[in-house]
Amino acid sequence: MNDEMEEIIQEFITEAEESLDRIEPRFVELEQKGQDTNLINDIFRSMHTIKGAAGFLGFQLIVDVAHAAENIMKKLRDNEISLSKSLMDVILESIDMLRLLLIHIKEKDGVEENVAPLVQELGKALKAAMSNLNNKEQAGISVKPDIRAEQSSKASKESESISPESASEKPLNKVNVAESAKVTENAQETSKSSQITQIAEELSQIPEIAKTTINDSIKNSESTQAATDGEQKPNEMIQAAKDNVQKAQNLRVDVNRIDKVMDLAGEVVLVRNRLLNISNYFDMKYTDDQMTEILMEAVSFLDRITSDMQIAVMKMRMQPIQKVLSKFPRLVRDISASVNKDVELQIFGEGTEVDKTVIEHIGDPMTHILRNSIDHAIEPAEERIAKGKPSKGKIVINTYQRGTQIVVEITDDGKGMDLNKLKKKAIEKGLLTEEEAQKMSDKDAIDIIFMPGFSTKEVATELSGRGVGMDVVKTNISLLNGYVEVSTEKDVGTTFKISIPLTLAIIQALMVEVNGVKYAIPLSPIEETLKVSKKDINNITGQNVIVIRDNICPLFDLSSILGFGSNGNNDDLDFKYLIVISMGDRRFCIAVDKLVGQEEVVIKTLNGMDTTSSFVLGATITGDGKVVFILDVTGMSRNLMELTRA
Amino acid sequence: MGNTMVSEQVLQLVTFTLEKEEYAVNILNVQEINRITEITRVPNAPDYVEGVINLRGKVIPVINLRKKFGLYNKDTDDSSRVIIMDIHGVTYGLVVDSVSEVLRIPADIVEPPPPMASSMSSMFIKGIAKLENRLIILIDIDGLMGGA
Repeated sequence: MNDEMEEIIQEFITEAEESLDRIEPRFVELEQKGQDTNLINDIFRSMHTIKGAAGFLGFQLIVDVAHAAENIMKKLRDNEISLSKSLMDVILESIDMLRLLLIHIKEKDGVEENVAPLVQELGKALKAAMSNLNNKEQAGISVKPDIRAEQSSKASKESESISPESASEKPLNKVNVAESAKVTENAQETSKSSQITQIAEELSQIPEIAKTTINDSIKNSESTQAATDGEQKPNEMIQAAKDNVQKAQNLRVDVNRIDKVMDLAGEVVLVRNRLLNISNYFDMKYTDDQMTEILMEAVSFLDRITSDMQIAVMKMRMQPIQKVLSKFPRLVRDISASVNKDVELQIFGEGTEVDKTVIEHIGDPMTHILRNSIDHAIEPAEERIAKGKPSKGKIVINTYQRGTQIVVEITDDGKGMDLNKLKKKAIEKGLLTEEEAQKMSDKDAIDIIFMPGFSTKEVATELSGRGVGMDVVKTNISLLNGYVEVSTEKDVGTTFKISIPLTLAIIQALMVEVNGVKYAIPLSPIEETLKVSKKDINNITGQNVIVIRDNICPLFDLSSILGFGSNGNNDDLDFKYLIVISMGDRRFCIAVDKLVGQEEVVIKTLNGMDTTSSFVLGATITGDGKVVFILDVTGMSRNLMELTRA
Repeated sequence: MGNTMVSEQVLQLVTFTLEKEEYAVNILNVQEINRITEITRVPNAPDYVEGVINLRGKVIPVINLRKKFGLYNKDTDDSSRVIIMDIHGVTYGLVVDSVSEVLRIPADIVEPPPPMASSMSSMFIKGIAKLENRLIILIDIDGLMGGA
C-alpha cells in the first residue's frame, strides 16, 4: 500500500470515527425526542457518508453494516416505520460494530469480524418494525394515514427529481462510480429532499470544489424548492453544506507535530529563562555600558514574544470538552438500562476548551462517577415516587472555566450519601477506628468513598462497587494536577466537582528553596505566602500548627515531607517562610527556607521512575540548566491529611 | 553483508568497571557515555536512584549501579561515567566507576550465571563471558530496570 493511499485511509478512519462520535449521542437524543426529522436526517447523512467513503476504499464489511443501518434510518425518516427500543438497540449495536471494524483497519490486524448476523438482525428489525406498522394500519389504528398518499405523491415527483440530480452530478465526478450509481438507485425510491441531502453531502466531501459548486446546488435546490413548495429540508441541507465548507478551513494536523512544536516552544522558554539570567548578570556588572541596555531590550522583547508563542501553541492543543462528553449519553442509557433505572442526562458547557491531555484523561474518572451515580445514588423508580421525586432520575454534567481552572460538575438527584453509614462501613472494613470516626468532620467522612478498598454496596455489582472505582477517580484527577470535591445532601443528591488546570504543559510556579535545593510549587493551589517567626508556631499533640487570622492551619516542613530530614542549621533560623496551600476547602502550610520567586516552568515528564511516593509531578529545567522538581501538592495534601488524622 | 551471521553470532558490548569487576551491556542499548554532571536528588526515592540529570533538555533518571548491586558506596571521581541507555524507549543513566572499551565476542563463550543463591544482584546477570584471562559479567538490562 503506498503512502498516498495510506493517507486517504487514515483520513477516512479519522472522519468516520468523528462522525460516529457525533451521531452516537444523537441516537440517544432521538430516542428521547421521538421522531425528530432533523436528527434523523443528520444521522442518515453521516451513515451515508461513511458508507460512501468505505465503498470507495473497498471496505465491504463497513459498507454492509452501514447500508443496513442506513436502510432503517431511511424508513424512519420517511415515516414508514416508527422508533422503538429494540430498533434503537440494534442500530446502536451497528455503531459499535462500525467502530470495531474501523479499529481493525487502523490496527491493520487483518481480523475480519463476522458482520452477517448483525446485518441480518438489522434487516429483521426493519421487517418487524414494518409489519408492526402495517398491522396497526390494518387494525384501523393508522398512525400515519397519509403515508400511502405521500408515497404516491413521491412517485409522481420522481420524473422531476432527475433534473437536479443530473445538474449537479458533473462536479461529483470525483465520487466513485459505484457511489453515484447508488445515488441514482436511491433516487428511484426516495424523495427529492433526500437526493439533495446526498448531493450536498457529497459536495461537502470535496472541499476542493468549494463554494462555486455549492452555490450551484443552492440554485438548484432553490428552483427545486420552488417546484416542490413548502419543503423546508433543502434549505437546511444547504446550510449544512455551507457549514462544512467553513469547516474545511480547519487544518487537520497530526498530533505528534503539534506536540513537537510544543516541545520546541518549551525549549525556547528554557533558553529564554537562561538568557534572562545572563542579561541580568550583565546588567548588574556593566550597568553603564550601552550595549548592555541594547541586550536588555532585545532580551525583554524575546521574553514577550516567547510568552505569546507559548499561549499560541497551547491554544493549538485546546479542544472542546465535547469530545469526551459526547460518549456519555449512550453510556448513561446503557448503564441505566442494565440496572433497570430510568435516568436522564443533561449536559451543559460542552464547548469549553481544554488541553488535549485533559481530554485524554478526564473520561475515565467521569465514567466512574457516572456509573456510581446511576448504580448507587439514583433510587429505583418506586422508591423515588415514594419520596415524592419524579420517577425518572436526573444527572447533570456542567462544564465551565473558572480562572485558569476547568470545572466539571456532575450532579445527581439521588439519595445522597449517608455519612453515618459510610463511617460504619469504613470501621467494619478496618479503614477507620471507632474513635477516628467519631472525631471525623462531615467533609472528611465524605472522603471515605475515595479510600482504597471501600465500597458501600452490600453486593458488588457488575458496574461499580468493587471498591476500586472512586479511588481511581481521585488518583486520575490528581495526575492531572486537579482535585475533586464532593457535596451531598440526603435525598436531594450528590455533586462531584472536579477542578483541573486548563493546561498541563507549562505552569506558573513558585520557586522555593529547602536545604539549598530548589523546588517548584504550582501556583494555582497557593493561597498566600507568609514570613513567620518561630515563636508563632505552636505544637498541638505533636502536630505543628499556626494560627492565621483566627484559623488554625496545620504546618509541615518541606524537607521532612521530602524525606531529606531536617538540616540542623536551619533550625537556628528565626524566621520561616510558609506557603499556605488550599485544595478545595482544605488548608495547610508548608514551611520552606527561602522563597526564590515566581517563574513560568515547562513540565517535563519523568519516565522510567516510580514517583508515587516522591510527591513530584514532574521536573523542569531552570535557566542555569539545573533540574528542579515540581512538587505534587495534591498528593502531599492527601498524604499529610491522612497523617494528621491518624 | 551478513558476515556477522555466517557461522556464529557476535555480541558487541560496552564494558565498564565497578569495584574490581568488569561488567558489560549490549551496545545496542547504549545511547552515549557522559561525564558526571549535576545530579538532582529525587525525594523519597530508593537509595540506588542517584537522581535525575538534564540531558539536553530531557530529564532522565540516573541509577547508581554500585548501590543497586549492593556494593559499598564510593564518591564519584574523574573516571566516573554515566552510561546513557535506551531501554524499551525509556532513557536511563547508569553511574559506573569507569568505562573500558567496546568489545566484540562470539555469543557462544557466554555461560549462564552460576547459581548464587542468596545474591540479590544475580537477578540482574544474564551471563558470564569467559575470555582468555578475564571474566566479564553481562548485565540483564530488562531485569535491572524491571526491578528499578
